[in-house]
Amino acid sequence: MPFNLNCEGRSYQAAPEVLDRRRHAQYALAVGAAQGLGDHFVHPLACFAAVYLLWPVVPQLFSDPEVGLDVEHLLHGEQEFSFERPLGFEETITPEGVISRAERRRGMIFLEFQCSGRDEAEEVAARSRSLFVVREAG
Amino acid sequence: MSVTSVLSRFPPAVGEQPPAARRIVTQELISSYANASGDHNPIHLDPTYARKAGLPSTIAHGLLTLGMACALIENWAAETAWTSRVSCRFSAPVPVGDELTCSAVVTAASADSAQLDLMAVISNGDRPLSRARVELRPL
Repeated sequence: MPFNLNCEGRSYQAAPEVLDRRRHAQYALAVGAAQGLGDHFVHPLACFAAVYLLWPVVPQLFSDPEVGLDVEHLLHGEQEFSFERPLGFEETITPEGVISRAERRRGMIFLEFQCSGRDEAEEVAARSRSLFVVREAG
Repeated sequence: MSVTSVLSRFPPAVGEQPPAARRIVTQELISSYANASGDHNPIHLDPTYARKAGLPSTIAHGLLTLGMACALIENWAAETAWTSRVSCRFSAPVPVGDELTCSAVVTAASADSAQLDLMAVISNGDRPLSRARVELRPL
């Protein structure tokens, strides 16, 4: 299915995510921030947002037939995470994502995907901006 | 430029550096990150799939590279600051088995925030992150 350049504004919701301390410990070990699963952290690591903010909604984007992304030729071009305040463990964040830009240039597709995570007070506490690039076949 | 083991007061000095970190990016490490993050894209896990995609081998997730580089700063500043912004461009793949070296330097600092540039380099000199920046705020 060809890529749909008119997909800007399509949005995706995901179930609330708890910033689980045990899952964070596995993440921290993987990125080398911890020596063991018992290491203590006051706040979750910033890029742990990939786990509770970005990844819960990205599979919906990648599999959306109305968008038609060729994920076999997709590259992650840019990433930004930002936070309104330091988040705490066991907080609940509800992620949602929206396609904020889609364009074709020089035989490539550029898709910007922005996510926001709302806390229990319905305030946006975390944001993500991703740029995905797809090399078009031929 | 001066390397300090821990950021003990905020703001840091411009030019101050956390200790650099060096790590071999093994398949076990990439698989651990896939399990921890939920990103099981086969380009990171399946050598046959990666070769079909035109790569010599599996490659690390871009967010693993960024996470490793940010961890260097967050461990350094854990007692005094929190990370309010992280941004980067993924500019080169990190093949499995390669050695990744990450470093950072404070480029601007005020009472409210500090900016650090992140650097990452692999064995052949490629830099998998560019325009990589972290903003810290005092706790």
